[in-house]
Amino acid sequence: MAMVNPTMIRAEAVDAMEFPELSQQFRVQGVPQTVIEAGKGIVVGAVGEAQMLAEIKRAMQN
Amino acid sequence: MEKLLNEQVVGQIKQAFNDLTNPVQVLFFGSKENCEYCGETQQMLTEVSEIDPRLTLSIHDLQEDAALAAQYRVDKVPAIVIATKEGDKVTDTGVQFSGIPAGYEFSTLINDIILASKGTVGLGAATLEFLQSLTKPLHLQVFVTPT
Repeated sequence: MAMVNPTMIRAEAVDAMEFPELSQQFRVQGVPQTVIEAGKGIVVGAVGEAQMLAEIKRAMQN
Repeated sequence: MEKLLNEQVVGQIKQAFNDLTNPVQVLFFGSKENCEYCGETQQMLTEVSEIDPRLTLSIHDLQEDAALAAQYRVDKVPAIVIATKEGDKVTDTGVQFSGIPAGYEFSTLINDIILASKGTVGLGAATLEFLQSLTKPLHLQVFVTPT
């Protein structure tokens, strides 16, 4: 997704074990968990493209 | 120093890198302080970058190269940024890793390098349209574990 518009989008794979404070902040209990805009949206587990897009849209409206 | 990648893994990466199209630059950001996995991550990337000449690696320090880190939106270490390279022009792909890419994440790293090199994304039209029309920044953090 980031590659489509790298000026605006930053996609970061975070090692949950190495950054436990961040994992706690976003209540990561299982992986993968996607955090959108520092918690405006959270997607637990691996989901399809349509669901991810819907959650991103919802999070960015807030 | 003992190699992190064994011959079999190097062979597999070499084969996967047959698909590389355009040059890719990987930027590593480390720190001299409080970074348990910086050394290992840097060594891993060095070994990967030696596999194919189309892949280059640059080594940076989060504190000493603070301006560059800010440019690439890096705020923790170890960090890996994937960029494309055209001559001297380096362009951020927006894809980065925070933490050592061990285990399954290592395959993700190799795949992301190949995707960046080919410049192709496998997303649907609706997704592409939305992402391309974004007018404010979007930060996606995917929490993963090495196993």
